Amino acid sequence: MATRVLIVEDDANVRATLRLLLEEERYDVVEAADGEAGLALFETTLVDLVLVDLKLPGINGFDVVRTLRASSDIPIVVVTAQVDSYDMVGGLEAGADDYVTKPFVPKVLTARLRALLRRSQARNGDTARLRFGDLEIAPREGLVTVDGEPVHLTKTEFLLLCDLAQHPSQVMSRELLLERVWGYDYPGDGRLVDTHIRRLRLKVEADPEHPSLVVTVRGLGYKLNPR
Amino acid sequence: VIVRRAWTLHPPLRARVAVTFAVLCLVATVAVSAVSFGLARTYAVGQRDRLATSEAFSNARLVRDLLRAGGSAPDEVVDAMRAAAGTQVLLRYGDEWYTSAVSLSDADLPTSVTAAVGGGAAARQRFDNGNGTHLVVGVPLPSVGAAYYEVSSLAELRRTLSVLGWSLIVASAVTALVGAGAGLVIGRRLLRPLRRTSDAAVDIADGELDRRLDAEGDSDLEPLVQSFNHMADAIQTRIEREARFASDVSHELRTPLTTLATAIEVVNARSDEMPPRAATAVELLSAQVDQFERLVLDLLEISRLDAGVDRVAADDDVDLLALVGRISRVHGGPAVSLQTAGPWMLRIDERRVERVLANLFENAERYADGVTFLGLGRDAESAWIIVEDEGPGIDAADRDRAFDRFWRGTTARQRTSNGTGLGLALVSEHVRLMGGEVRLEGAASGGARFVVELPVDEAVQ
Repeated sequence: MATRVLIVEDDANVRATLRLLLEEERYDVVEAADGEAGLALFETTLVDLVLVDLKLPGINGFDVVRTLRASSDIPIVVVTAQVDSYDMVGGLEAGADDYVTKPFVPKVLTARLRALLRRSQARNGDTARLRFGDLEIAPREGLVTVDGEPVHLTKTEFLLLCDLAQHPSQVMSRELLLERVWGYDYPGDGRLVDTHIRRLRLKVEADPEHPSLVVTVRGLGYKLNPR
Repeated sequence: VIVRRAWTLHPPLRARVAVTFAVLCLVATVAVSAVSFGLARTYAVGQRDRLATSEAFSNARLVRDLLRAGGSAPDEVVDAMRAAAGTQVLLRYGDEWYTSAVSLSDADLPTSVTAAVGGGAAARQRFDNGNGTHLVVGVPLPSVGAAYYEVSSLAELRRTLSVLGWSLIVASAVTALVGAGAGLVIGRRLLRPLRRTSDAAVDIADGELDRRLDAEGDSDLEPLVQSFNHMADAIQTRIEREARFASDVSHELRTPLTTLATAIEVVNARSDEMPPRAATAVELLSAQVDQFERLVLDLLEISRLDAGVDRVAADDDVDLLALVGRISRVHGGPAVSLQTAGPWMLRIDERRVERVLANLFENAERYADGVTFLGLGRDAESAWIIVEDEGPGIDAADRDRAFDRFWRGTTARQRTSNGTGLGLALVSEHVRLMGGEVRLEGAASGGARFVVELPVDEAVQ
């Protein structure tokens, strides 16, 4: 069965061309013109990836992402209008895995979708269980527990944590993480990493404001501190 | 030169206020002092004269009584009176003169006095005997055939008056100085609203469009404040409207452009199934849409910079050396040549530096054959990045204009390139927003040499 992408986009022309583009790439496409329709479609249809425009009539794209993320690990890509505004960070904080800016370069969009999908289909990491204080990671099972309590991470957060955990004490630059976790083979925006690190800390750190596990190395990147 | 001339023609307001105050104070105190001095002098001299006269008369009566009693010789009388009066005494008894001081003789007395007294009238006169001013009071004593003179020195009185005079002069000078000081203070106070206005104007010119003057609470100054704020409102509205317009236009172009680009991509992917002429047309279309897309992105970026919505976000410490090296690698540029020692961990806006360098690299790729030299240096105040190419360079006369929007060079390659014409304008805007400066110079190779200088804020360790 072909990989199915849900497009939530209010502009009919953009929707139609996206459908054309993605069908060229042999994806199966379902589309919704607003947030409500998108969420309803998600309930009734099995999809592998969601592409959401942040600017939507009715419930906006941020809320759509939040609602989707509340119940699912599905890869989400947001389409933001501004290259440089809060939109992108806002969309990522709502739970999106990646973003593209409008007007997007079609090749960039398809490359990102491919990278995200490849990642979510592959069973990453054959390493044995990793343990850092009260944090335990089972890469094979995709399980993370803090103090024995299971913690729910999105795929991106999980891969990010695994990547840091497999190289404890080693500083991983944003560029390296973009390449390894998101599959970027061209320069990306470091804020993509920063936002996901923030979300990850909220879930695994005892005090997310003063992280002791996933720490920032000023000017260089991030590393995981084995306690 | 002009400034200095203006100064000599019209000294600054503050100096003028101070001088005016000083002169006014001086004139007022000199006038008051002169009048007080005159009055004091008249009073003191008159008082002295009256006192000397009345004492001389009463002493004369005593002399007359003594002489009439005949109990004392005239020189004894003179000595007695000298002791009693505390002044020098002269006595003519018959034709003989008796004096209380060797230095004083009848020859010293003004003849007008001796003549008047000889005529039987009392007389009083100030005279100078070459030994200071003296006052003589002569009283005829016809009943005993004598005349009595008292001579007192006025040196004391003169000294008193001179002390008073000097005090008044010093007081006038002090008052003038205080006046000048007060003038300076008042001048500064007067100028304070003006300086505030000028500061606000500078802030607005620097892009702080929402800067306004606070109310002065002074009805004389309120019109200034109001008209200034009104002007600032008008400017802000206008600038924001223009910036919004540019931003809106670019924004509105975005959706159709996205559709266009995506649709062409779909067609382009099948160009090998098309007849050659159609494939060429699609290729042209695709290149133009690509160019259009870059133009809209650059326009969006520059209109956002104009609107001032992008604030400098330098809250992260960045390894500038690593950053420059990474950008160079991405663009296939040379290794970084260090011109000075580090440290390179600096508090700068990483994304802006990235945008600046990306644009300079693209510029070099488009108009030369890429960047050939990449230098990095720093001193205590700034860090600089040098980007050189070996292209045709830009004439010295055109170097300032190279940062203008949509400026195209003069060479054929510059004219026909598919650049957006906004790359260097973006560079200059980003650098300006970071508080830095970008210069275009000529490289030794004849190519272009860009020097980006950024203020250094050492990373907090």
